[in-house]
Amino acid sequence: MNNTETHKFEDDKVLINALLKNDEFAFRYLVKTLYNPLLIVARAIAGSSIADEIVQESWISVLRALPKFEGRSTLKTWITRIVANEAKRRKKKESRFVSLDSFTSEDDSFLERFDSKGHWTSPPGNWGTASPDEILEESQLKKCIDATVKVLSERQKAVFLLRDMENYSLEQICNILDVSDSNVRVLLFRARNKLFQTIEHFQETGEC
Amino acid sequence: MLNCKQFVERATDAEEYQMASFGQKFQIKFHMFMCHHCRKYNEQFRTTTVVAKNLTLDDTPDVIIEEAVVEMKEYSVQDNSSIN
Repeated sequence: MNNTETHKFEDDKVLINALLKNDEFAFRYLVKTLYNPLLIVARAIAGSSIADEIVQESWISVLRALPKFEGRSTLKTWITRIVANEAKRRKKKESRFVSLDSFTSEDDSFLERFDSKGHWTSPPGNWGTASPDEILEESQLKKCIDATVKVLSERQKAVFLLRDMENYSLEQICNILDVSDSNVRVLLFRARNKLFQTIEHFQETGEC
Repeated sequence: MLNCKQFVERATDAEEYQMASFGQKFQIKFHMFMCHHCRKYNEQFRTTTVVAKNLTLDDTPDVIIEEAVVEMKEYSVQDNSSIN
């Protein structure tokens, strides 16, 4: 698939029309661009063991339902909801218990940076004038950041992906993941904070 | 008045900040004015958020795409035969 073919599918209407005609290139584009984000969402809802199966089975569900797509959201959001609903259904069916993150015991290392009155005991270090671009261009630091994202809990990763990388609203994230507003905020804060600490540590030590 | 920990917990999502009441926004701004550690944290946290928005996921493995295409072709054949 060349770049021109890929670019044209960035337009939802073009992509939908092609998918309705069972166009293989359009389908490849869909799987290529959506598999990883959908996998993260499915893992957060149903757990790692069945997430891949849920996503792989959803492609045909998407094709079947596509003629009924009314365009009230983006195609990506609509497909994400399909996968999220399927993940919720499967989780219920298989009666798997997926534990929520422990909101009280996790990430104590950051909370230790405040005293009992809530003041900094270990304030933020100096990053100099590093801009986001400079941070991303530093290949070793980029590796540290990628490694940090990989080890986030499934729910943190899903909230972080949907909010920061995919730009979903907090309300949409609550609906997709079936998580309360306060939990979404805690998960997001913790994920971002881990990233923050990774960058801070690297700027101070030059290591992950 | 907010302490640093409360500032850190409340001032970290732009959408959340937009939804905050006038009084809450004032508390956040006032704390930032008074505390240089939190000013620095806020600035660096914003940088972190911009970095986060520019991250990309790994590429989808080819084997996943090929498996899905096989399924899609089978569906396509069934779909066409049901039309005909």
